[in-house]
Amino acid sequence: MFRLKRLNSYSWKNSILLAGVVILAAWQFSGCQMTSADGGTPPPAPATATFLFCDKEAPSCENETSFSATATRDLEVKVSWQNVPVGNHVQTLEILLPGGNLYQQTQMAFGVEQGSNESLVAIQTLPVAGTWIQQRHMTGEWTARVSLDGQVVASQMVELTP
Amino acid sequence: MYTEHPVIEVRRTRWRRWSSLVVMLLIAAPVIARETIVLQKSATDTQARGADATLNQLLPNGNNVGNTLTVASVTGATQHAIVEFDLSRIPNVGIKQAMLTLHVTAPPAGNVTYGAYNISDFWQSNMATWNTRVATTAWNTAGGDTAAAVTNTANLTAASTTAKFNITTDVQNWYNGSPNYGTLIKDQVANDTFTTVFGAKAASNANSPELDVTFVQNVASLTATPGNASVTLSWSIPALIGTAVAGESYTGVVILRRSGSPVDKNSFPADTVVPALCSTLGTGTVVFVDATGKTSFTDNATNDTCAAPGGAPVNGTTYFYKVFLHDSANYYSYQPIGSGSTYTQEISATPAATPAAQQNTQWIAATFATDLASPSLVPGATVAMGSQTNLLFFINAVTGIRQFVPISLGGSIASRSPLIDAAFSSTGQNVDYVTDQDGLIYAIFTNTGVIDWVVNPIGSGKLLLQGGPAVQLASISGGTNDQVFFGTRNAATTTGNQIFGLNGNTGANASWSPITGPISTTNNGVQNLDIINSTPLVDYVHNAVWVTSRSACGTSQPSLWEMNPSTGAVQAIANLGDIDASPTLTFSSDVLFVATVGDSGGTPCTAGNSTIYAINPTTGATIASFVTSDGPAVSYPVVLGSAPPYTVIYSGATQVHALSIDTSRPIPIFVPVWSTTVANPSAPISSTGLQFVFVGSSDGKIHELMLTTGADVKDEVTNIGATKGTVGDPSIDEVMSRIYVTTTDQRAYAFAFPF
Repeated sequence: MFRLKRLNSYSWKNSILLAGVVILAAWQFSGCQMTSADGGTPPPAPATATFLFCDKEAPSCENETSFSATATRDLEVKVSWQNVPVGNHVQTLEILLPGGNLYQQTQMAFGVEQGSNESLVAIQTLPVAGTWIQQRHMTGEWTARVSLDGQVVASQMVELTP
Repeated sequence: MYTEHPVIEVRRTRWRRWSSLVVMLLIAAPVIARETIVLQKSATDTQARGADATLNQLLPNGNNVGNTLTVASVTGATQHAIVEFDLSRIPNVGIKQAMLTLHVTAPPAGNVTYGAYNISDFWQSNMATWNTRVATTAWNTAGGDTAAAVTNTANLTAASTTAKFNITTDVQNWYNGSPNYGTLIKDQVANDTFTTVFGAKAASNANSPELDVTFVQNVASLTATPGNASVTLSWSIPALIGTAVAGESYTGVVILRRSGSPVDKNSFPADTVVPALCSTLGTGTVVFVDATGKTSFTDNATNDTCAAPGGAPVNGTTYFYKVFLHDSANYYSYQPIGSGSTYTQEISATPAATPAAQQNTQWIAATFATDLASPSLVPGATVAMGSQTNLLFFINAVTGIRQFVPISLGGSIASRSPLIDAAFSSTGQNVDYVTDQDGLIYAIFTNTGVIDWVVNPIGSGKLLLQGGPAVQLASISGGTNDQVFFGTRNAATTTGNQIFGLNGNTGANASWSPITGPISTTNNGVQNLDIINSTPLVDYVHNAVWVTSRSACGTSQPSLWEMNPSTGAVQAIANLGDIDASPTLTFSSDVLFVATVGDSGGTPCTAGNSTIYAINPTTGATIASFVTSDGPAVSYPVVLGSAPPYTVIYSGATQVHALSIDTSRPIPIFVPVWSTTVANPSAPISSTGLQFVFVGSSDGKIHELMLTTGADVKDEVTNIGATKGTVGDPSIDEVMSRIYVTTTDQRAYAFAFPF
């Protein structure tokens, strides 16, 4: 199960104007200071992503990278995106077993509108309790790898302990 | 002094220009392979799985399926066309080129550029709207979820009769494990006011969408026969499906070999290039190159003189062979894309000095992601399995060849999906019922792959379905239609999960469906319902459906539920502690067996040792119980015997165990019979009358145990090399005498039994 969360506390539509102002102000400010060597516009920063793994039942989500396979019901994989260009995009999240074989691959499409500066967090739930992970003791160092539009952007290890 | 004749020079210049143009055209020419085919709805091509629709911003909740498709770029009234083709006529091929053609019925008023985009989410044409893609599930982006980058564009004018898009890479990816959700066509310029109307599938004429595919088929009937320090491969070259291109013909094969593990997906010969014998391509060694149409090769000291890792097969080593069919222009049966090609026929064998020690697979099939569920069967005919890349496969049980291209569903499939033979199904067709982690349930006709119905059983919102569906057949129980039962895995609650019953013909909820925790039971008050990880069990004798669940890591709420399938009334419950395993009935339905997780009961809740229960299915009372000492039971216990004493076989964390119980005694007890160590065993499988128990393992093998003693008499290798996989729950096909398994190495394997 996959869902996308936009982190702004106010509505997406309402945020466009404010975000646009912020971006324009930043553009104006930076325009005289940050230029490329040939005097042109600096290239946009590449999209980046960071992972956060959470025990979905835990009261709070710390930046943990190790979970008990026998005690975790669901693991949440949160992918926070930065610098995603305007337009439609497809995120592909691969969950790799210890050893590198593909366990699961999910895709999610999302759009970034002009002027948006809100954080994008894609959340995938990985069921653990009662699944093959727990029943077949698939413990060890797993890898989460995320791609944007077919290009691998980030990967991170997460450990499932017995 | 040399001077050029002016006229001759002109001729030379023209010749040079023409030759340059020819060279340029040759360089730019599309890859041409052996066969081409036109996929288009017609009297001879039903395009049964094909679909299309128009998504109209002006009518954002309206479904638009008809004889036309519209693409428009008008403020507030933009329209996108979505098109999906049925590729069933070419299930086992390597794609070389795919051109999508839309036929114009009303051209744009001016010049426009349309783009073709790969759709990234599951949709159904009879439900798709600007806002939603299936049932009430919304697109993530209104107007359709697609890749960011346009796959290809086409320029149209007021005089255009077609729009052609090269979507080769998308189609190659569909054959390489990515779900096929089709193509979206939209204007590249916002609000340019232009509108174009194209013919749709429903028109069923020359104006219907057309996909022209150029491809190379895989070899057919691939087998590997082990000998003493030899392996003999044989195959057949398939008959043409499409039209031969430019007089080319299939001329032979290139075979790569690897020991221990299958040749990986990045190892293949480059199109148009003949690899050198004994050369290394990725993880494979080229052990055979032929352009004379041979259909067998014996890999032995005489024929294979390559240096290691090639050379004569060594007894006791398992060899994997990948066989690339090629044509006279040396185009091979794989998808030439950067992420590697996962679909080319492969097979394995283990040579040995004695026939008893020799092994071989009957077939190997790619599944693209981990699946460990027991494959479902129409014995002797079809093997079905899901994958966690949203694909559902139907494999010919005899040949291992896909019956058609995998069916792309909305989410990961993490359970066994029951196959119902047409003779017993109220639909009158062979049908497979599937649940997925997108919260959808499907009825799929296995002869065509057509999705008969798909529903989101809660209307709006998403469930997570982990366990598979159980089917109550009207042909046995009576009534007008089969019923499909399943439970939810909403881990956010330990009290409010749900059990559903759907009409197997339509997907409509039964009158009582769903029942939602806390549940008012018939005799036991209101009871909480925790997550359901298992597949329910239909009990025809007692007109009941048995459901197992977790129970909030304790025994204060039920984990075994007996439900009336007609009314949804919960007739009996048992507080046994968390259960993930499906229940099992004896052949005569006089005893029900369940195995708990053995959870700690504390916080955090950790899995412990199973307790196996024998339950009286009439009363729900416990007949006997047995506390194990080997962790939680895997998947389900197996019960053998047509009358007491029964043999119950289950797998724990490290061993496979057999218990005996004579339920005809006044006070039945479980008696341990044997325990056999198998690394991280799968659920066992056997059946009454068989001498053996089969079990998968994390050692990459299937173990064959003697039923009477548990002795591990022989095993068969799936993958024990660099990419060793954990072997899933086996299925037994008693018609073919075969075992089928899936593994974490993204493949399914078939073996003959006894080993």
